[in-house]
Amino acid sequence: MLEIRNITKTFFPGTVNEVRALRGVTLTIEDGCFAAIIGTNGSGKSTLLNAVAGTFLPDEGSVFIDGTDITHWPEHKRARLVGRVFQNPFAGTAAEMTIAENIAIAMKRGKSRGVGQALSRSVRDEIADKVRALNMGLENRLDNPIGTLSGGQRQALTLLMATWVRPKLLLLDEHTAALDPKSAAQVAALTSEIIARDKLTVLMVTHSMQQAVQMPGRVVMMHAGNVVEDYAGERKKGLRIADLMRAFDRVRRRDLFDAAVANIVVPQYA
Amino acid sequence: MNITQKESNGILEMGLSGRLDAASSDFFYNAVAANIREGRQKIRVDASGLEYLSSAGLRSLLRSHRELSGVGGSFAIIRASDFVVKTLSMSGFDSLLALETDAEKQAEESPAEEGGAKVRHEEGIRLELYELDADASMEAQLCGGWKSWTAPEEGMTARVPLGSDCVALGIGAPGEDYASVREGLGDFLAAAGCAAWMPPGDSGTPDYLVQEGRFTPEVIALSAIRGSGEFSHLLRFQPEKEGAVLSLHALAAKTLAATKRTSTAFTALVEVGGLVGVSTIRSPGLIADGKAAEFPSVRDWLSFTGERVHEGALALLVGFVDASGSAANAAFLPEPPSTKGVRLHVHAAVFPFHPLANGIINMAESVAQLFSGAEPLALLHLVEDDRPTVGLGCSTFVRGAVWISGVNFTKGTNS
Ligand SMILES: Nc1ncnc2c1ncn2[C@@H]1O[C@H](COP(=O)(O)OP(=O)(O)OP(=O)(O)O)[C@@H](O)[C@H]1O
Ligand SMILES: [Mg+2]
Repeated sequence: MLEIRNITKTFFPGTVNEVRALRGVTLTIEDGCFAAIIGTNGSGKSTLLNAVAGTFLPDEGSVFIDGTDITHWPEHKRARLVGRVFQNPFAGTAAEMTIAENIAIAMKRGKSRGVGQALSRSVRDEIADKVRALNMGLENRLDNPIGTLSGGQRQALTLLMATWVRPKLLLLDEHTAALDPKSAAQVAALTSEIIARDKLTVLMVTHSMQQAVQMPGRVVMMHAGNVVEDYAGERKKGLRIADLMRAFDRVRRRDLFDAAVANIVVPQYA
Repeated sequence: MNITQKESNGILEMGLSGRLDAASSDFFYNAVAANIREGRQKIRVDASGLEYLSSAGLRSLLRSHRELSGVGGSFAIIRASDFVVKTLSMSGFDSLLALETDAEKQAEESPAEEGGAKVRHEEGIRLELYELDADASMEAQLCGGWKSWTAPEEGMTARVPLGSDCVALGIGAPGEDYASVREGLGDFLAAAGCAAWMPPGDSGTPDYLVQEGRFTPEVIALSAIRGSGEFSHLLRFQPEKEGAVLSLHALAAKTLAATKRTSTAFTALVEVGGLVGVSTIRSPGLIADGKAAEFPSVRDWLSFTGERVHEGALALLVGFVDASGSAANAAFLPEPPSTKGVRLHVHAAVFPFHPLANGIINMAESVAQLFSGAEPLALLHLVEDDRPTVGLGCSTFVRGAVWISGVNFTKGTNS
């Protein structure tokens, strides 16, 4: 279970460039819950994922995984618990290394790092089996550098690697956004499949309303560094794209409703 | 495909040349729809230049015919070449071909009757004012004892029946008693037995009830104005210059001028230029203290459109105007910042656009047709935003029909 308690993060504090990226976010994600995070650009979605992954320390607040306070754990230590896939297909894998080598590294997550051993026959077979299951024909290219693959293929492999050893928490940051529509749909389907099979606990940032409505069991909307909507349970089941569009609309309207507007409209509302 | 248009004696002739097929049928239909919207509702299609007519093309002709029949207009194909006649009759649609009798021709050739309307042209807008019944007037009850933004109590509420004999607006909700509606109160309007209200909360879309048989919609209201009686005038307006619109304040002034009264009630069906308004997003029944009206907490109770919205949609307006200066009505009729002395309370229910017939049309029939055709998209309490430079001003309307009556306000009893 992931618990985010009252996290704040301000970039460039005290300067003209000050950005209050997270303004006290509290969010609990139960075990086995697949939650999507949506929100306007700059609302703090990636910053929240970064705070959980340990890319930086939050200014205030704390992060717990399974009751353990990991707020001050360095990023590499958290990587044992947290699998991560970014928007950029070129992040997260080493381009000049082969598919098999990249996967071999992923297989060692959470274990002490043995370096550069030749892959045993049985390990190669295990890799080939899982890669074959992607149905992308990549099992015959295990010794090709991963940099020679298309974005969709790379993202599918990155996802496979991030979940090879079951992570306590999987973080996906717009991981299909840079792909063409067909590859995006493929990777999204693979995502749902792996999450359902391994009953993973997931935070997925997406700008696709369709993904937000179809894939997860819960949808959290962020705006200006806050959580402004949380669709879970029955409320999520009935959720349609139009509801999300309206929620975005509400949020935008709220922004436009400033003190000057209040002065004018409140007396006219009788 | 090319379309030429010429209008004479109130009949629009659309000359088609080229192919009317899957590639061009939408183009043709949209041209027809634009004409209907702009009030050109007697349309003849000159088919002499038509080289080809596919089934998609045929469908667009039928659709045009159906749309025009719906607004009491007419549609026919003239000067059809042999293959067009053949295509139409083979598919059983030869009724679209004009077989104008001399009588019809004559009737249509005489200039369109104004039907006794006083016609005026103002700032690019053509206004027709019809007198329906010079003696008609309305009684309007001011119902409910709630003072805006205060914590309401049960004794302040009023039970307001919304049958076909009245027009009404206010804050309320349908329900058994106050306890059952306390958390669900929102803005409502009603006309001709059709009531729409905005439940607070997520859905963001209005709900509605329509009078049927012995069922009459009814709301429990914190505050409402309910007018009953007949309308004395009908105002029709449409732009003559591109971009000309009638503002809400101008419309209110026209209702006063038409009736020569200091207080009026009106119901309108209008094409929206842009709406500026607010709506309840949390039931005022839940207000516990005076803080609700303060910024920023007011944003939890009220949503402001923030921009001009719903351009091109059809809105049903119910409004009351009071220039009498009477203090007794003030709680029910707020004063917009720029119209000193003219108080105004207007609610708008927004629907997908559909065209209205020209001339005198019946309010009850038109409203019933609206509610049977589509669901309301939004419901707003209209306001004026007079912030310097960035202000949105008041709502504007492109064309439509406004039924108007003088009104006497009386204090209603609470339930
Ligand atoms: N490392 C950083 N240094 C400075 N400012 C940052 C940094 N990371 C994020 N920000 C700022 O913090 C705010 C939130 O950014 P964040 O990337 O979390 O938004 P987001 O919701 O992921 O947006 P998008 O949908 O565009 O990805 C933005 O104003 C951004 O410019
Ligand atoms: Mg981001």
